[in-house]
Amino acid sequence: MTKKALNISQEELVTLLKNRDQSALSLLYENYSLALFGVIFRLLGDQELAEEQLQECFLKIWNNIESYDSSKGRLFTWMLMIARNTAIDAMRKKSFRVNEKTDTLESHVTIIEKANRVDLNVDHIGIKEVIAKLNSKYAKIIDLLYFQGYSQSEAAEYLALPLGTVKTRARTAIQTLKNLLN
Amino acid sequence: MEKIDLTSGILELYVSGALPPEQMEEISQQISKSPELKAEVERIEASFIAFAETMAPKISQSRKAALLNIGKTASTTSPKSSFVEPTPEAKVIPIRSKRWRLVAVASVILLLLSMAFNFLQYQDLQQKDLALQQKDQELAILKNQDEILSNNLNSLQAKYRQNQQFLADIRDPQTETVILNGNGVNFSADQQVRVYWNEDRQLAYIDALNLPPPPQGKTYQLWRLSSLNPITPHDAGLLDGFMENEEKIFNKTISGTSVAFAITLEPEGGSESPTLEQLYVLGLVGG
Repeated sequence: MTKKALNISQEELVTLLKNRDQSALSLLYENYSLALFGVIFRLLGDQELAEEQLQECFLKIWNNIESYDSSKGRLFTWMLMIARNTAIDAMRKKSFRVNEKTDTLESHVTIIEKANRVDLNVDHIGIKEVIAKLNSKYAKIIDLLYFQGYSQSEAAEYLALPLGTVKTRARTAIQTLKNLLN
Repeated sequence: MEKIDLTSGILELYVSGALPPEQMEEISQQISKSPELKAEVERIEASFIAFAETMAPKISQSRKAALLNIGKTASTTSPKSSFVEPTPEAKVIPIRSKRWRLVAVASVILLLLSMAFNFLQYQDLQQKDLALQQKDQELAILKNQDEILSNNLNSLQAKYRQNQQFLADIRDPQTETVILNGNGVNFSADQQVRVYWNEDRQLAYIDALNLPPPPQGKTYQLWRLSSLNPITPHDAGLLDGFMENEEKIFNKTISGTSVAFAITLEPEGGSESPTLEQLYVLGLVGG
């Protein structure tokens, strides 16, 4: 797992961001930029475009931090939503195929393809290995919920599964990731 | 409010943001009261972050710099009130008519052609401009060289004219050559200084090539003697700028009759009357 140079609690980071403290940007970068970039890149598949959208995402975080309300969710969850929306907006603007969410994803298959195709950021761990070990149904649930931003009910509908199964599958998927990446 | 089951998977959905707003708020509230729940949420988040990071290519250095400086460039727009800023739908007006589409395509092609043409013109112009600048520089150098050369030529011509004049003057039948011999004390007796004297035209050239350089603060002075008995010397001028005068030919205007010439070493600026102890050369006219 990536060693974090600067560790900070999300509550502290929110305070710094709301105070317009420039150091918040370094902390944001060190702790979350790669994960947000991973999400954006997975959705757009183009390095330059994805970098532009990451910048857009940072800008939105910086400009709209006042609207973040910790009673509605984690800071990371809020940033994750911004990253996804920014990437999806960019897709629309570039007139990518949109409309149905189902059109844009091939879930885990896409992840595997991208892992094969792109020079990814991991030298300490074989991403292909991780994904290979992650049972396809778990890869798919993570892709839907975290990368694509499906709600629980949307995912259930898409997978034709009961709501409860989506929940337990999400649990198992994250547990598996945790074990694989640690 | 029922207690949250850590292992149910609801927290995984909470972190991904997949739950309805009421449920998100409810869970947030419970987490804020339970360190155990909070720790679990952080573990879930860390696992996903680690995974998402493996999906990311390297971020370029220039982009990193831009991201870190976003606070300096960002305008402080008024924050939105919603949890996540809604994304405005871009309005696209569809082009339906086939003809209009053709016109649009043609326009784009024309625009591209025009841009390409402009670009080429611009490049050409830039190259020409560059060439012109080089020519200007070359011209300036040539002008400078020309100035130096013409200055050299002018001074050579002046010198040439002087020499021509000198030759003409000493060849004048009226010009006498007076040989001044060393007096044997300050200056060796077999060394000479020549004076070319033209009484009618009141001019004289002194060829002092054999004289040693005068010491610091001293100068040679030429004397005209109108009589030897009693000895009557008259100042006939200083051999000024001795060191700078390469040929050691000094041009003097001399009025009055002379029966002899002499040169003494005097303090700078010359003397009223010759210092006889410092007599270097003496010679009689017609001697």
